[in-house]
Amino acid sequence: MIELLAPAGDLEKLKYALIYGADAVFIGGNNFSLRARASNFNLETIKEAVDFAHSLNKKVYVTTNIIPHQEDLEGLVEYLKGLEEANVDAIISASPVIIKTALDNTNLEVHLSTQQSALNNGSLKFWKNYGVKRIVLGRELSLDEIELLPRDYIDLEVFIHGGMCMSFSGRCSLSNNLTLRDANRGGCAHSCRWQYYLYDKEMKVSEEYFSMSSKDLMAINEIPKLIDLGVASLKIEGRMKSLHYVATVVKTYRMLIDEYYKNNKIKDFKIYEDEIFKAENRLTSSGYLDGDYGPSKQLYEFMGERPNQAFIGLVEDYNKETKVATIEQRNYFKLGDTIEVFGPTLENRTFVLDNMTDEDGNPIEVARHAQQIVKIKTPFPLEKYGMLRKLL
Amino acid sequence: MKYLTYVHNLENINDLMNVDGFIIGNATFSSRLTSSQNVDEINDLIFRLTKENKEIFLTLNKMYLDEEIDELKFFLTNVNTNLLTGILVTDLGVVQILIDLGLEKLIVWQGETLSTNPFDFNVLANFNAYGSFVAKEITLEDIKTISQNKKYNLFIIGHGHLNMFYSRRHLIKNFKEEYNLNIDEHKTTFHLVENKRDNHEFPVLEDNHGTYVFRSSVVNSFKYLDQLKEIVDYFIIDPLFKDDNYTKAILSMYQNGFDDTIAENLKTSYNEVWDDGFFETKTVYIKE
Repeated sequence: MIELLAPAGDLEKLKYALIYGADAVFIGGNNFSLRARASNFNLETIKEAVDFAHSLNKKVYVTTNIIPHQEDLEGLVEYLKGLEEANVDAIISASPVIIKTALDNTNLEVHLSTQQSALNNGSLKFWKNYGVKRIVLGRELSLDEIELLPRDYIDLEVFIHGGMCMSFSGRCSLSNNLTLRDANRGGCAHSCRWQYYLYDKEMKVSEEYFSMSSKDLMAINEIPKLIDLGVASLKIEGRMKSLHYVATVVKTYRMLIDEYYKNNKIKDFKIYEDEIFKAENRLTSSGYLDGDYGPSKQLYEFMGERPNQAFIGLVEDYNKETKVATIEQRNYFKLGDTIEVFGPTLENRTFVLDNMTDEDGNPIEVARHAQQIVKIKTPFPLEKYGMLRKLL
Repeated sequence: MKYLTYVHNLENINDLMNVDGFIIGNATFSSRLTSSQNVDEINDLIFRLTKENKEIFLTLNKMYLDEEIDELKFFLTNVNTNLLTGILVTDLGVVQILIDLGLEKLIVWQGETLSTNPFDFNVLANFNAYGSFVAKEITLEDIKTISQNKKYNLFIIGHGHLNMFYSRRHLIKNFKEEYNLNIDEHKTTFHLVENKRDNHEFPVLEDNHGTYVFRSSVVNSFKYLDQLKEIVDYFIIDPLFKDDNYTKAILSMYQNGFDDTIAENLKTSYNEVWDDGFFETKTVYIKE
């Protein structure tokens, strides 16, 4: 069965991603990783993450995907051995020196990062001969172009959801030049999303902003074809995204994949799209996958759509006898709000909030404090790890 | 250290014969060219210029899709590779093609941003490749470190507008379509101005392979020339957006000595600002 691979910026997100249906997660450690500043994983928490994932028969991949300067390489061998001792299932790397060091000094499986923009059979062959087990393909390929690639001698991983680089990944130095932050060492300032005007010599071509910004990728409609093609893994991007986003997107793709495996067809793609948009706050498109990379795939107005539902709480516990759920507040809500609940196995259901107490059983009307514990008697059973959204 | 450059107009090539070699290409297989030659023209140039003891490099500096590979192989079988000194390659898939074709000794790895340390610079040395470019965004000290450990020829783009963005998307064409603009997306006179950096003009170029955005300033290496001569094998003058007179004047200064008057005249005539690129400027590694 095809792998659903999800991002996790911290241990909590990792657990939710796996519980909500991801087969594997990728995380960044605090060394040798892009997005290192967004990571809460050191070797100790990586070990904890791996133990949790393996207890569910799932996998953890760790990104070591910077393009290092010589001065950055100190401690690489020790770090890679630490990852091996933590039993991580693979590392995701872009730099030959990191890949070779891992292959020479550990038994770690190595996946090639999309930062190498592998697009063709020759690239796959080159990296296979180098010792790489899996290739994360460049995001510039259409389904038809992916179909031309071999899947027999190397595993292919394809991005299906999340942010898109406008440039070939790993080849962009806008951030280096405009901010002195090295994009290939975790410093991408997203300078492609700034506001530019296009000029022809001295004349401004238009008063509209020139776009170097892409809509986010959403490959709901392309999943059946990707499964049929036999790619190994479907990847969701977004280690800096919220818990609600990760859970919603993972569960949606999980259900979609499972429906396709069960019925060999998808009855209604729109159900899945609607679900994604409860958490997705950027405009989306199918990226390059449908072969069209014209203006409809870009952002021109610099406006994102707001989600039509707000994440308000986590289900910490549910007492079947009393029918009372213990909720950890994540955003403001109050009596009278219409609330939608969903969970790892719980189908989406809504109810109007007509009761709420604090932790000690005192009635309250408003949950206004972050991580405040409240109790709610619900009209139907909830489950631990469930989430609550407020309809806006 | 040898000097390489590109030609805008083949009729001017005799004016540039002080270079050690030329980089040539065909627009179907290369990007950011000053001029495009067909196979016959390429073979004529190779034959004619090697007789003049010039080194010839063929550039294949684009990312490739599988559907383009057969045409590339056919092109390469028709180019007189026996007399080529090297082939500049930006895609490791094409590196593999050249290895499979037995042309590995011609490979010059031009990974743009990717050769930032000695190991990654030397990644193709085991294939007996000819050389590699260093990344454009590293310091002179980084280049020295690489040079001290180099296993084949070291290439650097020492003068010109350095590319800092390469997209498969046709961004100017898309912009034109989105807003119904009446422009020719393939013109070479476009630039971008960022809302908060209106003193910077970033040249932007589109061809059939995608879109490229360049640094606003022209990088120059005059200040570091003596040091570069010790560590660099091939120094490239990239005259994209300029002309052959510009190349001739710049080359003369690198070979015969810097002339402040000529330099100032060039900056004025070509409306350009020069800077030192990243020779002394470290980019930041965002760890935490």
